Amino acid sequence: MAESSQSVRVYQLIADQIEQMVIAGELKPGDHLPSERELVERFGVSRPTIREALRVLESNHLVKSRLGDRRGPQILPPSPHSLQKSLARLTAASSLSLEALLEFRMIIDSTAAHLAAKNRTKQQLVELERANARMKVSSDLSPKAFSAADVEFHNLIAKASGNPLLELAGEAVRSSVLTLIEQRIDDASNSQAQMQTSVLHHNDVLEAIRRHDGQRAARLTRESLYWYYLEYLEPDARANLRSLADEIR
Amino acid sequence: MTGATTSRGAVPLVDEITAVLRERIYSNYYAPGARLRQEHMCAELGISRTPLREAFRRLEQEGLLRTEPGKGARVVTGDVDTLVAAYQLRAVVDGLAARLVAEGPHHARTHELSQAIDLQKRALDPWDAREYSNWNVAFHERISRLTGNEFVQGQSSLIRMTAQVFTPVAVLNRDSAVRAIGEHTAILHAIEAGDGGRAEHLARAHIEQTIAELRERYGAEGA
Repeated sequence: MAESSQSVRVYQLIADQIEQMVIAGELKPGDHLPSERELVERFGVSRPTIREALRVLESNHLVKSRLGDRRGPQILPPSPHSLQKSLARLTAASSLSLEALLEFRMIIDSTAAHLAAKNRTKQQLVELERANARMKVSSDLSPKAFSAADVEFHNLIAKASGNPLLELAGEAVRSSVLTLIEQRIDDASNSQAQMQTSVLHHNDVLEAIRRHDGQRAARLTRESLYWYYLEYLEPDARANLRSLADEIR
Repeated sequence: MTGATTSRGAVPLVDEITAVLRERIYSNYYAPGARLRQEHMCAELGISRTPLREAFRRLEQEGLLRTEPGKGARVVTGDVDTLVAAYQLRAVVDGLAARLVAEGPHHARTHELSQAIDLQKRALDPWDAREYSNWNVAFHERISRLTGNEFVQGQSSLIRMTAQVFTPVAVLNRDSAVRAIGEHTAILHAIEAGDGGRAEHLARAHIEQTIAELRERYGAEGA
């Protein structure tokens, strides 16, 4: 018992140390860790301990090892995965309501849209236009295809904002909202109108981003969220979201 | 998760490009009469000529583009008489559509119509012509879709052609919007009441009012 708790600490320490090297920038995304044998030598521990440390790093999405790759595992770029996982756990345990997620999403998405209007490149604008067109076309295909195009549109906006934190948090919160909603998609014809409303709002957001009008892009993003999720919310929650959407008019 | 930004999913490229260009025409990014330069657009959109040409062909079929041999493609233009002529057809189609919805199985599904009216009202204060125009179009497109009649639905491109291509947001004014919202509400009530005759009459009168406004403003003769 004493021995096993000892070894737990060792592999965790090694994992922490490697994570620190990534945080400090000594290891960069795309770099490979040394091979297991080299790590054994460097840390002076047993092979199973190194393997355990690598498993921890891998399950935290910090590194990825590929079968047949003789080099060590590769450092992954930062991903919203762990944030997403925490949010997913919270929503599954019903301690995070749709209302809470949407209020948070309103802040993230509208700020991203505001900054995107300021910072987007011509190329990013064209990509946004094309994603918007895919939303339009897929609203006639299926709610699922539509959701995919919608998520892409928002990811592009977050990227164009130039703020990686908005990108990560946005991706995490959007996928949590989607998971909650997917269980409730009702009759197809009703969701048709819902999708059309959403397409029109996104269209307006795109126009505002084209014109570098950040305030308008932010306001319309909040507006779009409000109308899209209205039907899923209780009256009290609606009033809160409405008030947030109106914050700057 | 990453890499999703490059996958186009279920949407064919030509459909996507057609939708991009259609939206640029509807939003007056390409003004009526503007010449569309293929080489430039291919480079800008990062696509080859083949899908672009196919998109042009479709938009020409929809009446949004005109191509002339040796001159390339231009966005359609129309004088006031053309606009009035298009609205005259709309008066009939919109009237029929409103009747069909009122008398059809969907007249209970008016929630999406009242939502479009709510959104129009939101565009009044502060007055936002672009937003109003969108929800005006949405209201009429939804009536068209709720008919469930594919021939009526086939005419629905007339809605954006008249309300957006030929009517840039710059010429919309708040007073007309207030009047139109009142008329939309009356049409909705007739539909909700299942009164086909009244719905048709009101929807038709709504467009005729627009024609009268146009004639007053531009002194058009009418076709």
